[in-house]
Amino acid sequence: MKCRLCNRETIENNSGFCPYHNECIKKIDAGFEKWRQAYGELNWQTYLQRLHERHETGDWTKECCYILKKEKKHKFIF
Amino acid sequence: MPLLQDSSPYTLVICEKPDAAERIAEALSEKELNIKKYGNIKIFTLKRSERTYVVCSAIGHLYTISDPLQKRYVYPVFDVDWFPIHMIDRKRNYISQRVAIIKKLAENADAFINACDFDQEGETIGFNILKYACNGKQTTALRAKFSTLTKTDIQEAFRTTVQGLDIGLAKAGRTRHIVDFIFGINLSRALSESFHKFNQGYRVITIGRVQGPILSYVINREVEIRTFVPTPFWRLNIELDKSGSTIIADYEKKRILKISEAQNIKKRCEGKKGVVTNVTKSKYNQFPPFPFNLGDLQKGAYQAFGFIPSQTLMISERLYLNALISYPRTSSQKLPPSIDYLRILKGLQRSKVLNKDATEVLHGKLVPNQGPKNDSAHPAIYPTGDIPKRVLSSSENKLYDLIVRRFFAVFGEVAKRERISVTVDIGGYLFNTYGKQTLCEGWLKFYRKYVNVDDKLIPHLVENDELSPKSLVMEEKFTQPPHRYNQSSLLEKMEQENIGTKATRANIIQTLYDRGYFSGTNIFATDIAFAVFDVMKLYSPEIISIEMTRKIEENLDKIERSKMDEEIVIHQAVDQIMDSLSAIKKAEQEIGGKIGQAVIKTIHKQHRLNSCPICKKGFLIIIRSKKTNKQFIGCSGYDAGCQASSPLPQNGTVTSTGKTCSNCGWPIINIRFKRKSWRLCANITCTSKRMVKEDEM
Repeated sequence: MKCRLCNRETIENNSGFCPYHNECIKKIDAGFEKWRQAYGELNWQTYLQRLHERHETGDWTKECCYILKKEKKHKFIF
Repeated sequence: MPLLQDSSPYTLVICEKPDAAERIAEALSEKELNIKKYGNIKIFTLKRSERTYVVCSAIGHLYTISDPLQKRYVYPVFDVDWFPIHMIDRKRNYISQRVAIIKKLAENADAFINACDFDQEGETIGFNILKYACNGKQTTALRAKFSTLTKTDIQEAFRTTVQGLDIGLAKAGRTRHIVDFIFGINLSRALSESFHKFNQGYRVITIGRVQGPILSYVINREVEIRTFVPTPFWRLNIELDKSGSTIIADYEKKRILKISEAQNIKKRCEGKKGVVTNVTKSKYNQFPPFPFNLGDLQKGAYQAFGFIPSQTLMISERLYLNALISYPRTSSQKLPPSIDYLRILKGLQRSKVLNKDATEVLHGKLVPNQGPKNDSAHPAIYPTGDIPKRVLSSSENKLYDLIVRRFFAVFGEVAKRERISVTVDIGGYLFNTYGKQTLCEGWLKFYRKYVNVDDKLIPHLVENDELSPKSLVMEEKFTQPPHRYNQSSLLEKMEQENIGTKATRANIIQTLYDRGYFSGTNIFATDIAFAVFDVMKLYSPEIISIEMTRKIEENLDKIERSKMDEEIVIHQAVDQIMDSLSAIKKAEQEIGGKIGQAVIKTIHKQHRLNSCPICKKGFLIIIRSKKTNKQFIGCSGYDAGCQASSPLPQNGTVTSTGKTCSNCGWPIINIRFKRKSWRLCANITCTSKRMVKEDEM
């Protein structure tokens, strides 16, 4: 099966993502906790929006932010 | 027809490069030097102690490893042999004449001296010439060993020639070529063949024993950058006033992880006076740098002038061939007294520019600060003390100056510096500031041009001094992704991991650029690089792992010290590669498809410029017309009716700079033709161009 964001093969955990994008999803999820603690109040959608806008954010992470924002799902894998 | 008029027997001296041959001949000649030219090839005949010497030269390697079949689709290939390069590479046909001349000269020679550079490559070059062109004289030939091409060094080397070549060194060099060829040719052919079968056209897809780990470093870094998730943190810094002088102090915690905490501290500190609670002065020594080895020189030249490593190697070789510096392909960071420091410094004194510094060094102790790395064949890089006999090019001059000043610096005294750390209490919170100053310049006075001395002066402060606040700033920061490798830092990584040789590292990086795996000054891994890496990870993981190549390097070292048989290393390489090749063969279609897609994607990215300023929907791309074969810029929205287009020069490589023209919004492109490059707006009708034209008129 192909990754939902690129043409690579998906990993075998039904996430629908290749290893690289799956790594991003993991990092985004871990990052949410850090951001929430840092800002106090922060919802998932605002987090994704702000993460997407940062120039430090990796390109693949931005692609994942985009798809996560659209699906409005939190922790939709693992 | 005989090559030489005199039919008496002579000693044939074999050198690695033509310039080296000329220098050696000049240094050995006691009376007149007879030069005979055959096309571009010079043969030097000279008399020395009543004996005739004929000095000829190679032009780097004259023989190379290849497979006798030479069919680019056939693999595996294990039956390999040495061939004259012109038989393998038609572009290097000029080598055939050189080989023929050496063969002819060898017929009448009764003694042979290998005077190639004394390292693995030099020994391999000399060994192969003596074996194949001189009818197996590698066992009886003498060896002249030298580290500089100065007259005294060359004469000394020929006075103390040793019987026989360093066979261990030659065997290690030859084995390296064979192993690298076996890995490179088989895996590259397997990948290229997979690509060729399932895609249109032919493209060389390479991977090798050293290329693999380098690719792995760059890909791993690329993945870290592309998957990076920044996290926020805050910093507080305060501007304080002390009798009109400003002091900037940072809150003691470099990273405040919660905004509420940062706001709270800011609130409590704002408007409050600072009290100096602690002033600590610490003196420390800054030791002179180590003498340059090749890696350090490449790093230094990149930092100082932006020279890429292969450029530094090329320039340093030119300086070596002009007898201005010692042999640059060395790992050593040591300068033995045998190089005669005094003679070199006295030589450098003759230069107007260097006279002052050379004189000052001469008045010192003349004990260099030796580094830990050693090289049995050559000392660290040092100036020979000879003054340039020709005008050096700008880049040669820069590198020469760097080498000379480094040489001065290693003899310099320790620089003494002082750091003043100050702690300020503001409302119960501690803020720090520091100052730095040089107390005694020492070696820095010779090398200040090339070293970053971060002197930072702060006003005189003592405990309980009161400082009035000027402003308190709370900055929101984010963690940063790791830096991309550049050619210099990648070379440093290779050196740390001990992969490749000092002579080949820079060229291997260049090959990865040439294959389209890397792009940019700060290295980006392209889609092709990812595709090749993913394939290798799946079907031949050992080729991208550092362990395998490190093991081979260790074994080559053992061969050099005659502690291992080369056959074992070659057989191990063959065993390792067999499994990988059969796995690749089975998955040919999948691999071909993957690499094919990556190639298309990479080409599209390379050809894609900015978004179209006319239709605002499509983007501008570099197109080559199938009909006329001419390149131009057009819009991807052509089918939707966008007519945006602009012609391009037909010669040269066009690349995007990522910038847009402030006048018309079209992309600024870079056109590279031969060694020159131009940056200009891609729009032929751009007003900026008209203005330039009018100005010119």
